Amino acid sequence: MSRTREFGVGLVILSAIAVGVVGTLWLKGTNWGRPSIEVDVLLTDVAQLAPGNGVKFRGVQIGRVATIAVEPDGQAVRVRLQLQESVSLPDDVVVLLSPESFFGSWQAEIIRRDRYPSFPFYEVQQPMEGDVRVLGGWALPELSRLSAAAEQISANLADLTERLGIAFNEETAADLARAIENFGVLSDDLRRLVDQQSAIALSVTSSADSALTEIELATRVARRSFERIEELLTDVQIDSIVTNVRLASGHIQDIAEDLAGSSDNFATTMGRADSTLARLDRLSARVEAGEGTLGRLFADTTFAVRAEGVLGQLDLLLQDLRENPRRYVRLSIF
Amino acid sequence: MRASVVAPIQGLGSAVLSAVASVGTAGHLGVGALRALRKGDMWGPHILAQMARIGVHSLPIALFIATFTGIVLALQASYTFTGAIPLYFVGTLVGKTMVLELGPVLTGLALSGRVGANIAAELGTMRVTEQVDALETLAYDPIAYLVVPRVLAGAIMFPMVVLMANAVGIVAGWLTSLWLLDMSSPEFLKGLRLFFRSWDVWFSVIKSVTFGLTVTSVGCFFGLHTTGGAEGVGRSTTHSVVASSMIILVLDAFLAAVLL
Repeated sequence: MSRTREFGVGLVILSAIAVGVVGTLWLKGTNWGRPSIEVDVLLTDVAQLAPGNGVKFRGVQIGRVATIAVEPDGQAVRVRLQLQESVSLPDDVVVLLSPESFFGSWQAEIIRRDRYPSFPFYEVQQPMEGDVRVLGGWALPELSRLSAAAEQISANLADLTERLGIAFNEETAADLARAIENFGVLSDDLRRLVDQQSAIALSVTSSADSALTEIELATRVARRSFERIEELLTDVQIDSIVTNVRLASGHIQDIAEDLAGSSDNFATTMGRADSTLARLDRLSARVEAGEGTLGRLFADTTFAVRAEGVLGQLDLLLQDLRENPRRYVRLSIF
Repeated sequence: MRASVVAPIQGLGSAVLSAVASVGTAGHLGVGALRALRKGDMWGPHILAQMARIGVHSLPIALFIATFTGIVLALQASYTFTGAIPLYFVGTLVGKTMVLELGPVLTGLALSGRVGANIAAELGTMRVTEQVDALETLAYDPIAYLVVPRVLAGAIMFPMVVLMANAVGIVAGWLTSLWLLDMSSPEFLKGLRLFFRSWDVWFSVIKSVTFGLTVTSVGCFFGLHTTGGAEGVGRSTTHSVVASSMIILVLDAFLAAVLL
């Protein structure tokens, strides 16, 4: 009986201790004798990472966080990872601490540095410390920090909204409405101005086109003229032209001399004309005075009456002549 | 003064004096137990029997309670989490709750009823039948002979029972998740390991040690101070269970506040 009791007590104690120890080690994720390597990570902050959290590489869990300790100088935190020895890590890798899920569990993920080039991973000065490789790391901001930032933004927005509420009263609204109306008028004016300017620009453009055309034509003419001049300058006829010009100049000189002589004759003629006109003046004055035959003729009105009567008789005579030509004309052949 | 005024005041004073006297008596018992530790030849031969009674014989009821506690935890966690929280947190809740709280406390309460009541009834009967007086007459230290082996056995075996109960409760929750909740083992284990810390197991052991000391000490105290024959034995048994249960709950809160 005593041995049975002893065996039972011993069995319970051993079983309980075994359950406690083995269960604890199993739940902690102990490797159970599998070879492992240690890798250190330096970071400025580890957020919610805790010993025992998983370490993933390319999405596969390859180890666990062993220890976390602040460096003696207080400038960084050293996280020791215990990884499977069979996994070989690339050269340019870093460690990103991030939430494993939305509910608080964190993980250490080994990634290539160029995957997140903008993340400020810790710059490691000594990549190897003895046999232990040292990697740089960075922890993503915690949800609580993001919430705090969002709360701050929300508070700022509330403050801004309150200020807008104060500033945007009825008067402001009316001013804004007027400003919008003025802006509409201004837009119409601008539209008209732009239309006018475009029409002017179009006209100027067409004028410029025509001017350019004319300039082009003038240029062509000038070019031809210059070519012609060049031809003339290069031609031997220039000598004859110069000679002809010289002769023409001589002839012009002769004509000028003749004109000078003619002018003298002209002066004489003008003198004679002046004396003739003087005589005519005197004659007209005598006629007007009724002197002489012609003067009496102009001065005596009876002469005009008689002349009118004579003209009347001539009309009658001519009429009668037309009506009775035989009375006045006799035509006989024999 | 009128009796209607004097009686309540007198009752209050009596209760306070009785409580202080009980504390003093318990302290005297504790000091006597510590002194009796030196008398190993007196308590040593009996400790194995007490370990078997308190530990081995208590395993079935403790594991039975732990099994159904694990099942209920998994089912209720699933009922609570569905649609809001990933189901692998069922493993987290089962593991944490069993190890930190329900394993030690439910086992302590169950054993306070079984072990504490048993000790109180046994010692109470010995007291009312004057067997304890006979021991004293025979120069046996009743504390070293009766109390120390029970208290030591309780302090040693309670953690063993609690560790087994924790494991069985977690396994029961795991199997329930597999068979009734359509969860996979990796899911449950992911949740189980998610927030597991070694300190959780140590905390569970520390609590179970204190609960073992409490249950056995209280049982011994009420048993050795039994008066009034068979009725007094029943009263001592009841008082032992109630007191040890209350002390367990108070210690549970105290240890959680101090150690976590």
